[in-house]
Amino acid sequence: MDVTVKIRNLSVWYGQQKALETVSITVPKGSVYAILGPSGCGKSTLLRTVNKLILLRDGAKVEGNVEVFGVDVYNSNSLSDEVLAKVGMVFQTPNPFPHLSIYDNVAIGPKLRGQAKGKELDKLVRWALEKSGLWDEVKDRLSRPASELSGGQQQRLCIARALAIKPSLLLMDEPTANLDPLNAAKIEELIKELSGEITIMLVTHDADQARRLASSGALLFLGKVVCEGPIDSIINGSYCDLLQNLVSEHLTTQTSKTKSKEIKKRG
Amino acid sequence: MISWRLRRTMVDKVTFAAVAIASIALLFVGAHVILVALVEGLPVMAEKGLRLFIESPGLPGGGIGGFGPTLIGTIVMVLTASLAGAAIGVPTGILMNEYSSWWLSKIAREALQLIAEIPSIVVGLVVFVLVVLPMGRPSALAGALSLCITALPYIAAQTRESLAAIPMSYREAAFSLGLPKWKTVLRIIVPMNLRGIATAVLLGTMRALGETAPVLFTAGAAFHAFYGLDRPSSTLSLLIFFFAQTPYENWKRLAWAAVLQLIVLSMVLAFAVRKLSGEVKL
Repeated sequence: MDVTVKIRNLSVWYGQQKALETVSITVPKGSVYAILGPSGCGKSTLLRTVNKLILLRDGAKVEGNVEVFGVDVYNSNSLSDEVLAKVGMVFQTPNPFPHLSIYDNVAIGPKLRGQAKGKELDKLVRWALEKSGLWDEVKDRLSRPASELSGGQQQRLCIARALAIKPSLLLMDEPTANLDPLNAAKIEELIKELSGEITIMLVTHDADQARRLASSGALLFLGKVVCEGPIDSIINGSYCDLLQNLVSEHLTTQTSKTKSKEIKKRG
Repeated sequence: MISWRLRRTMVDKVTFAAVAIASIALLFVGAHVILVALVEGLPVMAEKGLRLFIESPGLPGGGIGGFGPTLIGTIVMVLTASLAGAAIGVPTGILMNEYSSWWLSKIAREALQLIAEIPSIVVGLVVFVLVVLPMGRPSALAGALSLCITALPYIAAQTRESLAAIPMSYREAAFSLGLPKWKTVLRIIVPMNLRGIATAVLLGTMRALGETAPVLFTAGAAFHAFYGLDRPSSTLSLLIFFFAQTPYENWKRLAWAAVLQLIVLSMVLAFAVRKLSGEVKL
């Protein structure tokens, strides 16, 4: 099996607070890999360790190995730039650059990298916008500010921006969380289409979405991987029950811990 | 129950009165300054018209003349100071925010803090010793240098603040394009914030325009002609300082006209700053 991302014993701290604890996952090449879990379990943090965005946070500390396309991105700085140039990302909230036009939002990546210019760049922008299903809606107003688009259109513009750099790995952090069902369906369709060509890591708390799109994945709870494997093995039965079990298990261990502490104190 | 309600109403009324009195007092001070400048300065402006901006001051006890050479000196010095301040302050601000953990960035922060805390008259003295004495004379250049030093901490700190205010979500989008960090910062983050940086520079310009102490020993006191960058010159604030102290009525009136002019210039800059910073949409 070809592997795109291999994470081993990864721990992440924000200051004193531990966000991820000895996480190990393996993302196979050319598939959609879902990262599932309830809010605040470290899904977004895990995704952000892959392209090192995590280092933008104040006081973030990373320990362990993150291999992307076989390169340990935290321990080989010279190579990591080259590898991360092949990683695109789409975020939970649409965030097109407010100072740029629709065209420039898509063109800025390849332009600054020197991947394309002139006619070639125009072609690339058109390709990315067609791919994200936005071309027909914006072809007549490419030079308008991106902020004029609706939320769903902005999110598809952000996908086009990520695709324009021709990534081999696309990180998606709950890309449909803030969209209406129609726009969400459009984006899911797009993910399905892309999955044959590139590897996608998809963070979601929607088990049905994961089942629809992903072939494998991992379930996170309180910064730890609970289970990893084919998507059906993770969500067999009701996801809600699964989470409820996790929460109640956690609460029991917490209470037993405090109880044992109390007993120690008394003793 | 009623006494409790009464107490609340009382506290509310007293607080409102206190805030209102404070605001009115502040408004009164501001209005007084502008009003006096208008009352004293406007007749001079009406009398002299545009000649005020061209002529040099009249003889002691003679006609009013104008502050033409001083206006040129002011513009030259403040512009030079702003441009130099921007050339050093903007990159320093970028460095302090985007590479905050780097040792150079920490040194820059400490150095700027130090400069900001030095009384501006001391800045003037330092430039006097380091530039004026070796050159053998005060000059527009020495004055611009002192103004630049006083404006620098403002430009750098404001640049840094405006960059820090960019929402994390845009910052992440910029860094997710897989570009080297320097390229991301210089080609995406900074252009995204051009207005913020322009505002920072304008704030520095305002500061340079209003300062008198730094130019006291450095710019010279040449009010009758603009002789060039490396020669003695003067600023509006210097003209006010010197001419207002003289016993000559015509020079005092010229000083008042300069006061009005300085207030107008500051207000124009302040308006530009507000316009720019108000339109930053992120």
